[in-house]
Amino acid sequence: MSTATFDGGIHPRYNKDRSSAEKIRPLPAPAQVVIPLSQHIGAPAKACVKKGDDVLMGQTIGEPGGFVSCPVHSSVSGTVLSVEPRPGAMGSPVESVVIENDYAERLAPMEGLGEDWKSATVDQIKAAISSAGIVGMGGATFPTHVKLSPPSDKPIDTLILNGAECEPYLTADHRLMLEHSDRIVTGMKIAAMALGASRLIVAVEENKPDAVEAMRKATVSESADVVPLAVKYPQGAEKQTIDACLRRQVPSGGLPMDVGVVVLNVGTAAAIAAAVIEGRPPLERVVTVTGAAVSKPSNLLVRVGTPIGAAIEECEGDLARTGKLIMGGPMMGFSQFSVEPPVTKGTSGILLLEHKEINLREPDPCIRCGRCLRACPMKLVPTEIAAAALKGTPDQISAADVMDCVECGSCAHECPSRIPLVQQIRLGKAAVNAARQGKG
Amino acid sequence: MIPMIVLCGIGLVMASLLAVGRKAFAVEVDPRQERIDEILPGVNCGGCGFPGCSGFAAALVDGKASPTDCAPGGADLATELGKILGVEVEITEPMVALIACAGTDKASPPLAGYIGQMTCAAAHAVPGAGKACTRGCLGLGSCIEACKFDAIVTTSNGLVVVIPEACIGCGACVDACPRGVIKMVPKKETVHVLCVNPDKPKLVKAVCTVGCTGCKLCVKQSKRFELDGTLAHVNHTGDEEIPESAALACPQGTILDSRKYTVAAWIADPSAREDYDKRSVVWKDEEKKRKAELKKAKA
Repeated sequence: MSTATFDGGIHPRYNKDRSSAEKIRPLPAPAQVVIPLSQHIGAPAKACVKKGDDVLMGQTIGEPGGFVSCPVHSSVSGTVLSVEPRPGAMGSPVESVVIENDYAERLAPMEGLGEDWKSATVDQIKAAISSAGIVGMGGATFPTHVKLSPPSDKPIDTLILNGAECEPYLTADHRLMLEHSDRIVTGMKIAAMALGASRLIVAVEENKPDAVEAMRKATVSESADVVPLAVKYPQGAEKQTIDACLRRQVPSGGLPMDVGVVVLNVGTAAAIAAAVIEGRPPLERVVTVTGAAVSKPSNLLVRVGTPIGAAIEECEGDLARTGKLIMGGPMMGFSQFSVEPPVTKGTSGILLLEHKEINLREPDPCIRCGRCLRACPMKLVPTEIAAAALKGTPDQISAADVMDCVECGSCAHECPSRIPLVQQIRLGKAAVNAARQGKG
Repeated sequence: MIPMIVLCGIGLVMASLLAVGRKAFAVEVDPRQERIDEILPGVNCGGCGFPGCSGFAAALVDGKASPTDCAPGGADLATELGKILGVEVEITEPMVALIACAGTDKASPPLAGYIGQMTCAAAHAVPGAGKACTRGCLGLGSCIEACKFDAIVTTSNGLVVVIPEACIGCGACVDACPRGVIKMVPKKETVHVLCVNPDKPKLVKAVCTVGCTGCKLCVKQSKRFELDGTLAHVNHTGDEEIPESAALACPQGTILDSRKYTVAAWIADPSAREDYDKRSVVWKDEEKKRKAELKKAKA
């Protein structure tokens, strides 16, 4: 039997071997952390501390601003210097809490359910996850407690743990699976209980045989299947993972819960375990710092709020040689123009790519080769969407199924004319959203 | 012979059918619409908001548009249209577009290289693309594409300028700008504040050397200047002549005096700036002397 996968997709150069053998090591906490109040999809958190306040490590400094929102916690103990807009990972300023580290590491009281979680109610577990502010750690940062609360008419039968890590360069999830497989499995069991899911799957791309082995060992006494997936981008996009593992297709405009599935990143599962058992919010995360301009590619355990500059320095990254600085993966991450933005709960990588690793050529005209069509994992026609986005009305853009695009970047990667298709499609999405809001 | 006769017969029958049909199913067109269509400029610029000139003609006849809505035609056309429609036309001030930004790539240097979709809307959606100032002109020229009259050109230093003589005031460029940098101003207006950044002075100064900081020195020179938070603008309703000192008093050099320099020279010609700097120094010295004398006289 061939390995499970989906139709479409691409084979970029992975360049994972630089950092995949590097053990996770902690990066010392910086003298000052900048913690954005919006580290998740949904309403930003509201600051509940003010300038001059003394805060403990793990103390809530931002209350959720709605149901689809998350609390934010301090990753160090110390004094609040200010609450002000600071440069964020998306480029524009984000309201953030700036805290001076006193290096005392005074922990806030944390109340976990301990090993009693097995006898806890579903509501207790969800409350623990919600108050710890857990978000999708794969990079999408969707609040996990929302994902774990599907409407009652949509029963969940399967929970997939996503360890595909299909983004090139990144090895953070890989290392986590090798070094903390037990914790991930515990998180998976907790999430499965909260969802009432009977079938458990751990999906890992087969270019990480050691991780497949480690997860198999950790799940030996569980009823979970470890499914090796074909090495293909975007194998880790949740709709593609579901297709590969279960041959179920999420309907257009739908969510995985429409086909009875919830997909969680392995990092999220580990964070769930910490939140439910110890009551510990995610104060740090594993970040891969790599790229040709980095002398010591590493997987660092970084405190949330650490400026990316500190991590770059630790790994001896050379900014002068860097052609492109990216937070996240090279396919879906965000290019940066400074080293000021802080690491957030969703930062999976910091990449310093040399000029030879990137292609800065100006776009040429479309030669109608159709490579983007073959690459599209959503079976869309990127050229048609892009043409509508550039010249069409919102109705025409909608008709080209722009909203089904997952912005994985496969089409733009394959384009021999280097046409910025994803950027054009994003413009189209913005136009459609604006038109819908105007009507509503 | 017979086929010839049959063919001619068919032809005759068809022709008479067409002749009858033409009379029976004739579409009534307001004769005024045809006359209007003839005198409209025929450039189909869309500035009136109707689909092309014939669309505008139909709207005029239906009373859905005003004769003054045709910018390329100007005042003469509006009067003509008024005559045809039999309505009084109040001639409005001719307007031109103004790119209210003087932030060249030297005044507001780019933060990083930008490679991607080279349109203003696309670059505007990417934080960090373009210049340090996130409010000003991106210089990628989406307005040039929107302009049907070739009235907007790029400069060599990262901006675009409107050539007032070529601009007919249709306003198509205003909608094309994602940052709202383009303003419609009366053609006769001589002095303009070339900045749209409403941020606090500290932030403006951090990103641009020619941004308006809201210091109010121009307001002291002429009542025509008004302050909107920390951003000055010219009130176009007044008639009072704005003195040359208004531009000279501006410490940032944000104000363009088009009686002295054309907008293209002001943006792209370094000698215009040099000349302005010299005149500004001279004026400030004179102003100091004048104030000192005033003080003396008072004492």
